[in-house]
Amino acid sequence: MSHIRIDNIHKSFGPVEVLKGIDLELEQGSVLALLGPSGCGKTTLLRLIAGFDPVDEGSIHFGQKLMASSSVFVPPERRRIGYVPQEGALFPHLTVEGNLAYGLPKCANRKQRVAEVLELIGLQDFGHRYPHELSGGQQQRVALGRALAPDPQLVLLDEPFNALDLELRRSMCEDVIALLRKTGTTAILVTHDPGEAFAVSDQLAVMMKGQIMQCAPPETIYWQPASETVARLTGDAIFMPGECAEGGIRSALGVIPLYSSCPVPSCHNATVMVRPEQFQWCQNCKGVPAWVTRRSFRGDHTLIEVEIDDMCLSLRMPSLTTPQLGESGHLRVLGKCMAWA
Amino acid sequence: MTDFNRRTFLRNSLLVGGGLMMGMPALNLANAAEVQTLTLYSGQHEKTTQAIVDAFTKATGIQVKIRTGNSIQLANQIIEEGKRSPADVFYSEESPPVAALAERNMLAQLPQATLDQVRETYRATDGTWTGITARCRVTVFNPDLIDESELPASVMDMATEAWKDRVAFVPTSGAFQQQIVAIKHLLGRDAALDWLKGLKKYGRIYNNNMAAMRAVERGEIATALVNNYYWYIVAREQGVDNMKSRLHFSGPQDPGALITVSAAGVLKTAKNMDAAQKLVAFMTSIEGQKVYAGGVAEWPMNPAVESTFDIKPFDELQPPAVNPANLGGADEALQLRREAGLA
Amino acid sequence: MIASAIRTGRRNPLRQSWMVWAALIPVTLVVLPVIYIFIRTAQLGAHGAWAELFRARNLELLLNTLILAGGVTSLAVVFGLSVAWCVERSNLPGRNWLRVVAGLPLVVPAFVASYAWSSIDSMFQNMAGAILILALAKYPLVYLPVAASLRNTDPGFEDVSRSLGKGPWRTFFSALLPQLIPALGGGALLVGTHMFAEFGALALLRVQTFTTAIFESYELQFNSSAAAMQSMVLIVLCIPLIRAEIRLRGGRNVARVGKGSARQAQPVQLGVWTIPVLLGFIVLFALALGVPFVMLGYWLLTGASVGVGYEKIWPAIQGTLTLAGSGALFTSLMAIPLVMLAVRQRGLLARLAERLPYIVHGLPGVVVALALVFLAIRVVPFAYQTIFVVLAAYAILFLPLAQSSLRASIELLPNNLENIGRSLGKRPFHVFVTVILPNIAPGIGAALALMMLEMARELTATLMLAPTGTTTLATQVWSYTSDGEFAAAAPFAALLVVISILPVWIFTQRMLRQGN
Repeated sequence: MSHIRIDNIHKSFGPVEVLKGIDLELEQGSVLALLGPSGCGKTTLLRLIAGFDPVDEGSIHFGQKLMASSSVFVPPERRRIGYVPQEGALFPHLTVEGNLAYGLPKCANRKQRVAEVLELIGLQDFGHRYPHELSGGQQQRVALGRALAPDPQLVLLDEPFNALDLELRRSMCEDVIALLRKTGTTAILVTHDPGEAFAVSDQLAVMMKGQIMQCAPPETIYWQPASETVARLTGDAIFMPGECAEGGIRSALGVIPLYSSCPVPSCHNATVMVRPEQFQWCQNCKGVPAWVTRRSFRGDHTLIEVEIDDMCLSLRMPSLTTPQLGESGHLRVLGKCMAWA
Repeated sequence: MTDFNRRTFLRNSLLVGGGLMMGMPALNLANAAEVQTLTLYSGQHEKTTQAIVDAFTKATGIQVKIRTGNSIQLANQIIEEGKRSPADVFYSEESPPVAALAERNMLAQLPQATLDQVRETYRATDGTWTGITARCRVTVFNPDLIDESELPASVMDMATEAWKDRVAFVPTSGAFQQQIVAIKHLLGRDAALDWLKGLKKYGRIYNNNMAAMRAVERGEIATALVNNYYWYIVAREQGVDNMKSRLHFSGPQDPGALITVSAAGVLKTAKNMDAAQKLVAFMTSIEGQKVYAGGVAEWPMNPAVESTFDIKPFDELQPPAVNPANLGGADEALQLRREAGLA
Repeated sequence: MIASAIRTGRRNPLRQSWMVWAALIPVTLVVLPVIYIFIRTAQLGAHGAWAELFRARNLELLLNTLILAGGVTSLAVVFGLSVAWCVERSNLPGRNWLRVVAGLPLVVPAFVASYAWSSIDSMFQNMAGAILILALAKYPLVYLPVAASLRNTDPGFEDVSRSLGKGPWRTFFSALLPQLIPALGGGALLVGTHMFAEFGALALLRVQTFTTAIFESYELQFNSSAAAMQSMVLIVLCIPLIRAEIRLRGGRNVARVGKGSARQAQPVQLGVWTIPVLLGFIVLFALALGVPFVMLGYWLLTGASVGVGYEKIWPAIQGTLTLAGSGALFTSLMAIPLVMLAVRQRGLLARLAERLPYIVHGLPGVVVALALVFLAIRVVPFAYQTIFVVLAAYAILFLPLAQSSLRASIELLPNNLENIGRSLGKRPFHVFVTVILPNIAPGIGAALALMMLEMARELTATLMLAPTGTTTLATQVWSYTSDGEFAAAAPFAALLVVISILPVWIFTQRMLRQGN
């Protein structure tokens, strides 16, 4: 049985319909990432789940309990959720301990729980500091700890790493996943960074213009996106025209097998999608002849542009095996591909 | 976990502090409720009022709560309070505020015994209020700027071009209104209007009497039309010997020598009618009037008492033949001032 | 996405319903004098009202009122802006010290200043003099918010402007000034509406305005209907001012875009201008502080009534602290929900509710006091002439001062704090007390200080509404000066000034530190 169930949610602000019928389900203890560009409505959805805004239509259930519908509204303080906003928003007038203790009921083991959470977030020695005395990463950890402390049934994270710089972002991301897994917390994470979304989630929902385009495990989303838009949103992709052939679909790169999930389009004028890392460069192998027209060294990887017939492809290669500028060879595709009409 | 303690402490002290702040009024309230006494709304100078009330309490044992304020605002307040007014007695610096209450039928009849204690001219014709002390309109002048011999016998002659920028007047003062009405009664409406127009054109407007009085004392302007006691107030503060300005009394029966009174009346709605009547009776009695005689440079209204101040004996004054009780008509004065462009 | 999150946060009506109820209390209070004015004006009848309104004299009063309000506001803006710029953006020697001193003229009650000036020479007893004297007394209300705002503005805007070839003056007007407009507008609005209601100072300065005419209507005719009619004119005068201020504030967003912390501005080198500017400050302080203080000293030393009424000093201090203290607390509490709603909800209704007190701020104390006399004795007779009605009067009279002090603090509050509090299982009111209040404490401190300052001076409402027998420093000063006993009044006036120093200091500090 699913733990969180969202059915056909609609929400408008004035004349603008921000959410146009959202359905989502989430298992106990799993992490859902909501991925989408700015303005797609993902934060609005999060706020509806949190109870900061009422829904216009549809329903939100936590377990058996109806939390929100057009007629029912359970206020946020009675939903048992944890909320971690973008900027952390620690209470500036409280110490780390004060922040962590804020959501805890007044009882004997309150101190004990605070100590536990401090240890969980690895800030044992910072309990008496004020938020402004902490680094950005530490602040976010406290914000997460504060949300986890009362043992919520659902944690909502609204682009929690946005304010951090790139490197910190990656490591925080790792930490947070570890923490969420360790505590077995059900969580929804809003992000516009596919890398973050893939890394954190069990399920990934891609949102666009107020609708869920696809909801599936991260790898499925990446390799088998349901549409061109999803493919573009979730990473680099190469699109080519193609048509049906035996054993797959024929394009400028030869015949590539199709994923079984792929709804085979009418076989003429289909669009084929391949991820750049599916390409393999080889000197003497089966594949289409190609030659390198541009090359840009980026450290651990190198970007190259190769020309095949009339087509030009941008590829990413491990630096060690990247061909030189002007070099010619063969290009072949590994694995399967997706195609749409 | 000192922070929790600190926070609790802060919160508790905030609560206690806030509670005290808000609670103190309640304490005051409780204190106020204990004493059940006569309530006097007084626009008269605080010290004078306190002196007469002390004497009254000593003589009768009746406690009096004094609400001090500006006479006019107190009258307005009583009018707004209407029938529920907590005031028992209203004591005003001038007669018009009391007359305004009488006009609205808010004052009780005073017993004849009380009325008989004061000079007949200086009490309400319908017996609802009585004058307590009298003062006189005068011309204050600064001898450095003008010689007394140059001052005319009548204020009516001071609204001409010859007096350009040499006369200070306070068109908004109560006594000035009475003066306008007196002129209208004595010399006719046209005379009053011409006089006001002349003053507007040649005189200098001040917004309050004390400012006008001090302007003369400092030599800013040669003369001012004010009440006699303003000179004494300044004299008391500066010392009589240091006074530059002098008083000039207008000629016999001139509107410039108008007599005005401070006055008191009992509210119809007084909760303590008996004590209230006793207070006004005391204020006009010989005993009460003696308190005034020694306290303010005004003439006691009980003919049996003489002021101890160095002021002209009352009987030597030659006021115009009008009764202050008939000069309360602020509307008449206002109409004239409006026509003259002074309101 | 981010923008939409903020917008949605402000629109939610469910979130702060208790606060809407809380905001109804101050709104109701503020509406009371308006109701009274309507009742009284209605008694004039249409014809009477028409006749009363369109008199030649009213045009004169209208002109005077507008000239006074316009003049004082402009001059206060000039003083406030130049002082703020000098102490915040130039290398003026001693500017840390000057920064605090520049707020001090607030300690001098306007009637003391006007008395001092009018006794120097009659040349100050006219419109020009009144404008100068009142601007000197009120400019800190512009200076303090502008200085705080100057400190928080990003000098980057100016750098860019200079780099685009604009000279320093053009830069000041085109890059810096627009950023200061909200602070400037707020201060100017306070000064302007204040001037509509000013009475005490004008009595000595020989200037007649609508407010002096209102007093006159009460005083000479006992005619509350005419006074009500004139009050209506004052209310109408306030409305365009408030509209202008809302527009200045509403349409503007001067927040820095992008991350990175604001740089401290490099002070402008005054060079040869140092001496003239310093001289300017000396003249300003001599005029704004020196004159009134010398006057107080003169009273103390020369009058015969020295020593009179010393026994009343303690009760007067007690009365002042009780009334001003509880009044300040009450009014600040009233102001918080109003400002919170206006800042967070941004709805038209919330904004109107927040601005309503400013309209009533243009009413003279006597109208508000009489309105409460009229209504209190009829509706809540048991509370009449108890401190509770005084508190209500103070709230009506001074709410805008509390609002303007609180506003900056509340605007700085991160938008999500309440949501987080609630997501952690706390009820809205609990969140308000444990999260919002502590975080707007600086604003509350500033509001309390400014309230105490103004309430300690309040006279008309105190005289009419305070429990019988209550004395305050202000009523004692009034009582003695109206008897001409200036020496006796001097210690009370001096104490009033001394008592004001602490609140002014706190207020100055709070305002200048805002946003740091």
